[in-house]
Amino acid sequence: MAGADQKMIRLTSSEGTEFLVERAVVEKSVLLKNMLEDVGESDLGTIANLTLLFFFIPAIPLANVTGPILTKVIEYCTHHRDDPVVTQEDDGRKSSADIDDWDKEFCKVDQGTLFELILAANYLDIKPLLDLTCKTVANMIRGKTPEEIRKTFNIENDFTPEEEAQVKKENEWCEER
Amino acid sequence: MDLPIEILFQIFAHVYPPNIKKERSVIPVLTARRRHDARRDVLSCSLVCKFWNAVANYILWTEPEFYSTDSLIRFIYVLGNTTSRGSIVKLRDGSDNAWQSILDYNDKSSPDNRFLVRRLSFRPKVTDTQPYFDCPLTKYINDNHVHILAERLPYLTSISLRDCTHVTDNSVIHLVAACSEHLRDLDLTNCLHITDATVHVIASVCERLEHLSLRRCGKITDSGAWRLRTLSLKAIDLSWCRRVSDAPIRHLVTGRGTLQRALRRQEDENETRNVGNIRDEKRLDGGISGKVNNARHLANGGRTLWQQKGEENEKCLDDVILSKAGGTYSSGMDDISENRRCELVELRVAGCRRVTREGLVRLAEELFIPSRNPENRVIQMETLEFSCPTSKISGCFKDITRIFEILPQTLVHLHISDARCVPNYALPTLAGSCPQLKSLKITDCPALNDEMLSYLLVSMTELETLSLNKCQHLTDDAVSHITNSKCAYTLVNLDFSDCYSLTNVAVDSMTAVAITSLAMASSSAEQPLKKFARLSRLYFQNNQRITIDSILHLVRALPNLEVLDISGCGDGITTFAEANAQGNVIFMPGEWPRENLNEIDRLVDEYHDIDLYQPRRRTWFCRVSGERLDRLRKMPIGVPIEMDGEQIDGIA
Repeated sequence: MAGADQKMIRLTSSEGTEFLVERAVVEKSVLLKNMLEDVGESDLGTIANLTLLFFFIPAIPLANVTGPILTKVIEYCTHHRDDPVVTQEDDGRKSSADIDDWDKEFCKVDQGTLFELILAANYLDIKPLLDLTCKTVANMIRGKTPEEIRKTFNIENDFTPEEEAQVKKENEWCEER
Repeated sequence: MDLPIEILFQIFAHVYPPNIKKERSVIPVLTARRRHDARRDVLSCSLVCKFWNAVANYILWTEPEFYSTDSLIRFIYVLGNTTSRGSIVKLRDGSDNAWQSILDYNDKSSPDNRFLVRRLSFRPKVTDTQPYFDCPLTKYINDNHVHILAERLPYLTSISLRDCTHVTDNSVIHLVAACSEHLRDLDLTNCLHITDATVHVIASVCERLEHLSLRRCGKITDSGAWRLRTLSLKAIDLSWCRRVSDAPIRHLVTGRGTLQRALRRQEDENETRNVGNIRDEKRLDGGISGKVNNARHLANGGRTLWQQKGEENEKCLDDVILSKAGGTYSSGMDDISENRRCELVELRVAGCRRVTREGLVRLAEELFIPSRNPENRVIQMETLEFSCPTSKISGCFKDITRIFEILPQTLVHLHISDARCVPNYALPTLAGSCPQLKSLKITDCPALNDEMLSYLLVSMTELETLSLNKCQHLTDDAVSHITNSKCAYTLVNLDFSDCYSLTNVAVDSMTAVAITSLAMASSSAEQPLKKFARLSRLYFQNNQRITIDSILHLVRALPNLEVLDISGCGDGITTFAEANAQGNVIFMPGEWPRENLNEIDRLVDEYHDIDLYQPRRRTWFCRVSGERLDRLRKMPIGVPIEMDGEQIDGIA
């Protein structure tokens, strides 16, 4: 339905920046989709169709998401707006290695942004985005030694040597010789 | 780096997926190797810092995987020798789960890893393969190992001792009794030495048991089967328990849990309510996606992991809570969880020698005709496996037709093993009664000919698995019927093994349809137009008139083919090939192909990666590539190659 797609939704980031987004894009987020459904089709729809009454469109405050991150999220959702909903079965086909080019490009951001994207995707419940970002981090982990991982993610080693030996010993069975 | 724990878990789960499906390579050996590498990555993660260690341990230990006996030995050694640290005290009251143990990690008493182990299996997760390192672990496991496991792993919810042929009552009883409180799945398939004693213990202590497989436990008799009625099982497999007869099975199915139910009803009503509340609270804490809870969800600013993941993970992460609530089915089932608990959805009773045809029909009537059922309702069976026993009274064929008539509409999997006695007029009845069937397996059915198959396929439009093993009256026309039917769009597994009379014509017709429909599909850009687009497993064993030429064409035409078994096929070719989009091919000779060695060499050059497999023994050989492969190529043609793993190593 073209009419329904045209409906606009206002989203407010944590700093108060407002974004006007098409409903079809917003509905990529399960959280917001459910919310919109709860609010009800009718009251939202009639107001939203009148562009003149822009300011009467109810804004959804997203206190946990900053402006730049929300921009990225909207960019992702807009690009993937027409993707079919991925079911568990289809998902099995894709290994975590294959990410399509656009998505790869999309994930070329600094680490802080990437983690914030993960949190936002988790919060807004956008499964494909969460998967994508987690995959990206997973790919960063692959094939690295513990020391390299610490360096990559800037993590402090809080093991004492004894503890480290203990951990190594306990998980020794995982290592095939 | 301050990601919440569930996100970190999800990242690790991408590195090393707990669910094998997520990372299935077309080649099992590669999958095993890749999984092994992936696990090493998680192992690295476990050494990064304490927080990561906790999450990584969770992944590594919840469902330990063993790729070699060496690994298993060290696992058991660690279990037996580490000093016990802390414990998850709260686990039992249902208000807690293993996550808590991770969250408490910063406390002094770090959790003992062994408390994290939930599911235990000694079979490789990669299906159809043995561990590629050495001999099957299942043959290695003995009573001593099981005793150690029983002592050290108190929180198992799922145990599979499948194919562990050396274990006996003694240790299995120990294990079952030790884990009885949380145990939900128990798979004792092929544990040949198990007797009624174990079954008695299972029946009396495992109150929460839902899935039980005693397949091929030949020592189990009626006495054991009789006791099982006290359990409220969802799935029971008594196939090939040769000494079990009609009466206990019928009693087990229809009289199940009546006593227990009566005793527990009062208690349950209270408990379900409480547990329901607990579950609700739990969800609200995490914030579940759902219309009602959205407001809270926003306020909470996140949702917990286990609602997002599939049922598999939900099970894994939230086992205890779910088992309390009595349903493995995902959220939203609270209202009917009480019913679910008692609903039998899977029944397998094939090959029980003392099951008679009359008994089977009565069983079916009691299951599927409401007025015959003590609770006056149809049991919504999903999986049914039985064999068609010979009737002692000659001409008493109507009986089996009766079963087909009353099969419930809900049936999804139907497996008739040994259908020798199914008369040809019974099969049309089958066509009408199960339109939702996704998996149809008929073994050894002389009544099934081409026309009958086409008749069946007209009504079964959603078939994903079609197995016609040993149906020797099928010819090439059967394949063309399949290519013309609707199920060609949906089929994933197709099994024509031991049909003997298929020829290249059949294979070529599949190729033609796959190619033309592929072309049509790409031109009109509509997904469902592709025929055989989902086909991933194809079995042509022992159809001796199929040759490699047509197979090679077929392989190229099927984009998603993962397994192709053409062992025992004709024209001197006893090859088994797997092909995929990345271009990996496996040849698994029973006899080394003579005439077509050049063809294979060409393929080798094309695809580079070659692994060997001998289907008859169902064992994988070492990965052969590079130098080893060159040596293999130089081996003399015409000499049958006796291949053991050692000899291959010798070549290397």
